Amino acid sequence: MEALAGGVRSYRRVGQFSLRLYIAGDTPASQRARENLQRLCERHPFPIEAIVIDILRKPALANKARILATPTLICEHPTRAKRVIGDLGDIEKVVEFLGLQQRDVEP
Amino acid sequence: MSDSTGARIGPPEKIPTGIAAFDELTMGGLPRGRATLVGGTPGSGKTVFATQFLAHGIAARGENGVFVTFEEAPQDIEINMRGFGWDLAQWRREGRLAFVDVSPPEDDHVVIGEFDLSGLLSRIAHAVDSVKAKRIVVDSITQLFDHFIGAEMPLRRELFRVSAALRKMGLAVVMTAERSAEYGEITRHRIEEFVADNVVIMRNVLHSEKRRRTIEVLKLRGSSHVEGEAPFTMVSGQGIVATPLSSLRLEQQSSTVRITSGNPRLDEMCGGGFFRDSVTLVSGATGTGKTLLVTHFLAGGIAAGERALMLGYEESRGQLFRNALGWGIDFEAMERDGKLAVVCTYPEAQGLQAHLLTIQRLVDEYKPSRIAIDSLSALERISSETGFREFLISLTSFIKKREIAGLYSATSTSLIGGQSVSEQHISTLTDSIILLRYIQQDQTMHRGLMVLKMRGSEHAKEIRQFTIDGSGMHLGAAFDSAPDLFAGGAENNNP
Repeated sequence: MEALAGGVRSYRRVGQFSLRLYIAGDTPASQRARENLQRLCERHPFPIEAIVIDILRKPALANKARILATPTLICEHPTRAKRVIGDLGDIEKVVEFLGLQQRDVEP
Repeated sequence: MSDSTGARIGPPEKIPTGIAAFDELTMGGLPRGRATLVGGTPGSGKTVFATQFLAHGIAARGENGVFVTFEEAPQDIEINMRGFGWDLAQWRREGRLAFVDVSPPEDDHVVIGEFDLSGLLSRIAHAVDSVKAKRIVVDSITQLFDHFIGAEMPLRRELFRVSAALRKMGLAVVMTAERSAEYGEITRHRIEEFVADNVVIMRNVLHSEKRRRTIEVLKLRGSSHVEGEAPFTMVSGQGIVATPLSSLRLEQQSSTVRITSGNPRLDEMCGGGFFRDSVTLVSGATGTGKTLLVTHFLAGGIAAGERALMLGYEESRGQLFRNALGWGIDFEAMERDGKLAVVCTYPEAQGLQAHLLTIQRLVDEYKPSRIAIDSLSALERISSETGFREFLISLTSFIKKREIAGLYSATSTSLIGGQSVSEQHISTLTDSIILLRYIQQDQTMHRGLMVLKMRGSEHAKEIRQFTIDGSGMHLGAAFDSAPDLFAGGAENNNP
């Protein structure tokens, strides 16, 4: 388990989100998913706790989260968890599905 | 890990499934290092088949297993399968069985971008490794397509990859898949085309208000198998029990030893009695004396020192015992002496396949040297025509294999003559046929008996008159002129 590149930015606010990205080894899809997650976090107005888990090294965690496909992003939420399967290729859609806020991106 | 299968030339090793008849159909079981798809409509028994395959490996062969479930939670499977005598929870605790739980999580989910099933594959590999599994079940693949609506193409590619990986691990793989109809396309999404070497179909057909379960091997790559549907039943404490028809070859030895029919005059008509391992049908309208002939048959055997078993489907034990006593035969005393067992069951109490299993169990427990079934017509009532024919073939073959003398009774639909369905079904299967008929002569109704067929022996061809009194059946002289027994007499036209 590792924090996302950029160091400790896991100050989760009450009622905010916690993201877990499950990947299987260092594949191109894993790499794309990591990069997309990084960008997603950067565009968010508040810090988000985001952790990347390689299931090849932590199979027990994959079992616990019942991971089927990889990459899978699980968004823990107090009321209802959501999961996004795939390399998060369309960030707008991910943001919309997870109901995240978005900071205005300068051109 | 897979060198035993990869390096071998020739067909892969087959491993037994625990369903004896299925192993006969596949001529040894399912091949190792191959994937078998089991297709069926909901409720056709796929999960039971798959679990039995694992359970047999664990309990009887020392081969551990992995159960990958896409549908039910592992706890539910453990509860549901307990009734068949498989303690999955115990095996799980002992490290002989591992579940991979991929039953749908309750989270909302969506597919955005490209994905693969490495998550699934690595979890399976982990489970296989943890119990050193030899067999694996994936139940059911179809469920996956409902997880990934709109992503069918990558899913197919990924399933192909998963299936190939499991085979490469040297596992014997059973995957289940849903079918939408009993006949028609093999599975929804045509899964069989890309994941399986072998295809098995399970059916649960409702035909004229009767359920008929069958299992069929559609394809067994690189290996031969028996064609056609084999009927099966699900038995608590055992699982699936099937009867392959084609394996019932006519290879039984024919005995030349004669035994008594229980009536000396009838023995004479048959050229010295029935054969030791023959099956005889006695057919007649209601009240012509079929049960009496059955009673003589049992008593005659017992008098000669044999053990006899009677299966009644029409009358209660009380009635049968009272009837027998009325003809001077004491069933109760015979049972007390351990010479006779009379078992009466309502035909409707269970399906025909289950009846067959009951009969086989009774025979193996009681070990009689003659058996009577009164009557087939009652059993015919509860089944479809095909089902009944299969039952008869299985039963007759079983009786002959055990070298027991069998007597079946069947009720003709018309009082005077005519061939009933049972007769048509069974005439080619039984060795001998005895007809009992009412025969009208000069304003009087008589009873007549005729030996219609006696395989491998001379027999009397004429119709003998007989009477019934307090000491049973008495055969007399032949009729001078009797009407046609099959069509009914000219004066007794049947519709």
